[in-house]
Amino acid sequence: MIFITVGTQLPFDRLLEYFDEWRNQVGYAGKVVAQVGEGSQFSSPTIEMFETLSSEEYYQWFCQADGVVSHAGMGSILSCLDHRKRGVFLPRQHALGEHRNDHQRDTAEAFEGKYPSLVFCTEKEAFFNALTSLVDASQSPVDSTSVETNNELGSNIATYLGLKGALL
Amino acid sequence: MKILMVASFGGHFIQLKRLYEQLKSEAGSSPATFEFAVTEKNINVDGKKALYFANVHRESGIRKMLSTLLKVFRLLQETRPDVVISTGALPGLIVCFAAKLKGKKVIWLDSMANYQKMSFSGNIAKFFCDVCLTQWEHLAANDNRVSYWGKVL
Repeated sequence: MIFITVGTQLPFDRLLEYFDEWRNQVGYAGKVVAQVGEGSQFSSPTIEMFETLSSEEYYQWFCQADGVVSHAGMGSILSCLDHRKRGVFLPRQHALGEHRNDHQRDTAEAFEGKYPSLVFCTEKEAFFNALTSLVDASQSPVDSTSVETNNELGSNIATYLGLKGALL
Repeated sequence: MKILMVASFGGHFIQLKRLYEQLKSEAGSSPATFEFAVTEKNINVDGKKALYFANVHRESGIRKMLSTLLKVFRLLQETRPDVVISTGALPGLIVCFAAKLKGKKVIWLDSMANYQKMSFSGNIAKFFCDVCLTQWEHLAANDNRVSYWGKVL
């Protein structure tokens, strides 16, 4: 199953239309579930669609997915890393009226090439190729060794607030 | 010490929860308590229900903004935090602003999404918050109002 998500704020029909075009082109017949955003005009008889999802519903679909297709939002990026999911990301573009500014293109630039399981595309052709690779790789496990975590931020804030080394 | 952690539902809130996990493990033995406020109803963090407050964005208009500000003052009156921490976006900025007017310590953490420049809200927050953080080192380099202390990832 492929799970498509466009985030909590605005619809992103270009992503859904691209996806549909790719699916018709390659004949992908797997199940597709999409969270399309309030006010989306997109329709498809073969995609199970929800305008919005609660947190629980979202993660239910997310965890079941063999791959995730998403706008370049931080929530989707972090969720893919947390749940070891492959992700294909298309940043929203300000010029196309898809967001208030171009920060998603900046996010895509920041994360591009950082994690092998996450692919960021701005062009339709690259997006199609990434979707094909996503389906091909969907059964192989995600290498999560590159996801390093540290507590630098929490440590610095705790020190600033005087929470570290505080007396019991 | 009571810490109120605030964010819009979605990516901002996911970053807030990650920051909470980091803070919780660093403040293990100190008497800090955490409370959450988010722009979505019926959200739980660590088995505790988060407070709900209204979502606003730049196009919401002045009436909605002001009514949200009033509700936020009430929320602060009820929760009485010592510290407010927000990961954005505009609703979080409103809580930070109200908290600062009430003399609370306020920390702003700009979203990791903002790699080329600070967010609209972050660029306002840096003028009144006690600490204004970016998650990208290069954005702190040329702005003495903004610091880099690490990332949620």
